[in-house]
Amino acid sequence: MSDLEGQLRAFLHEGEVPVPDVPDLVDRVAGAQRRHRRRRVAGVVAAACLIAAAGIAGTVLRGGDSTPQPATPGPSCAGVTLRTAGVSTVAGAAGPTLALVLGSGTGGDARCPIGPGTRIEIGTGADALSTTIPHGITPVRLRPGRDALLQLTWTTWCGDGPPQVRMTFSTGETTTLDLPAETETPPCATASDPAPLRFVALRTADVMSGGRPGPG
Amino acid sequence: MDADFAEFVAAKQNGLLRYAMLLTGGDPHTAADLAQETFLRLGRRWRVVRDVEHQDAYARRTMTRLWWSRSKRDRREVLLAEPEERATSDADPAWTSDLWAALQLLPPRQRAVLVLRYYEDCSEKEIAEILACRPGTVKSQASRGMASLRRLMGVAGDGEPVVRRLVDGATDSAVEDERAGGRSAHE
Repeated sequence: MSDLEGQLRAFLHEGEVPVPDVPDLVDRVAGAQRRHRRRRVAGVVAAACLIAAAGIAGTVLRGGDSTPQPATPGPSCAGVTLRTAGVSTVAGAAGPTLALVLGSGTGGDARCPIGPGTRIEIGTGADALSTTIPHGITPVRLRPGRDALLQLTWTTWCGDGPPQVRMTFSTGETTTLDLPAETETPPCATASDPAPLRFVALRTADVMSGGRPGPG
Repeated sequence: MDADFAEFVAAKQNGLLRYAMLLTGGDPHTAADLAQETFLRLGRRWRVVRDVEHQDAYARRTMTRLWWSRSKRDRREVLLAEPEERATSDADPAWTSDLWAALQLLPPRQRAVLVLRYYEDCSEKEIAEILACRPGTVKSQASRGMASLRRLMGVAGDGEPVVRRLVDGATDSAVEDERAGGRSAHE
C-alpha cells in the first residue's frame, strides 16, 4: 500500500471532517416518513381509481353491462357432486319423479350457484333427455353439511337400462352419476312427449347426522 | 416512527452525517439531505435493519448506494454548475487538510468508490455489488480517483500540490484546470 493510500485510509476513518449540525434530524425523518406514507396511500387510491375507471371504460366500450367484473375468481362448482338419485314410479298427475341429491365436500365452494341455467341430462345419444332449471327459480348455494334436492318429472325412457345423469352448472363444471342398475325407469312412451323431463322443484336439505334426505 | 427507530436515528446520525460529508465532498446541505434519505430508506426496512448484525456498515452502504444513484442522475441532468459554485464558496473554509481538500475536488463517483475502498475496505467485486455496477467501472473510477489524488497532492512529482494553492487561497488556472479535469473524468 502506498503512503497516499495509507493517508487516505487514516483520514477517512479518523480525519477531521466538519459534521453539519442537524438537531432536528429525527423530526425530519419522522416527517419524511409521514409524507411517504401519505404519498403511498394516495398512490394506491389513484391506482385503484385508474383500474376501476379502466374497467368501466372497457365495459362501456364493449357495449355491455357497465358493472365492473369482480377481480376475485368466480365461484367454482368443482366440489359439488351428485350424491344419489332415485325414481319414484308412483305415477301422479305429472308422472314419475326423478329426485337428485347434490352435496358439497368440505372443500366445496359455498358460492357455487345451483339454479337457473343448470342443465340436467339423462343418457346419451338419440335417447338422451335434457332440461334446464328455468329462470325465476331461487338458486341454492351449498355449504358443508347442507345438500340440495332437485326434483324433476321423468315420463319416458326408451334407452337401454338405467342411464347416467349429468348436471352441468352455470360455471361450466359438470358432475355425473350412474343410476343404480335396480332403478326402475319410466316406460318408453310410444306417443312422443314434448317434455319428457321437466323441472319441478329445487330446495336445500340439511343433512342430519347419519342420514340424508330421501329422494321422495 | 417507532421509538426504537427514533433511538437508532439519534444514535447514528453523527456517524452517518460525517460519512455523508465524505461522500458529498463537504457539502453540509447535501450531506444532511443524504442522511435523511438514508434514514428514511432504513426506516422502510426497519424490521430487517433492526436485526442486522453490522448496522453501521449496512447504513453506510445504503447511503453510498443512494449517493451513487444520485450522482448518476445528476450526471444525466448535467447539473455541474452547482457543485462548482459550492466548491468555491461554502467548502473553502472547511479545507483543513490537503487530503480533505483533494477529496473535495474529486468527482462524486470517484469519491464514492474510494470511500468504499478505503473506509469500508471493500474489494472491487464487493463495491461493484454494492453499487450495482460492473467491476470494470469500479476499477476505472478507483484508478482515476487515485491518480487525481496524487496529482492534487503533488505526489506525482509534477510541481507544487494543487490543493496547497487552494488551501492558501489561490485560485489560478491550474486549479480551474483540475476542476475541469474532474468534471470530464466524472463523465
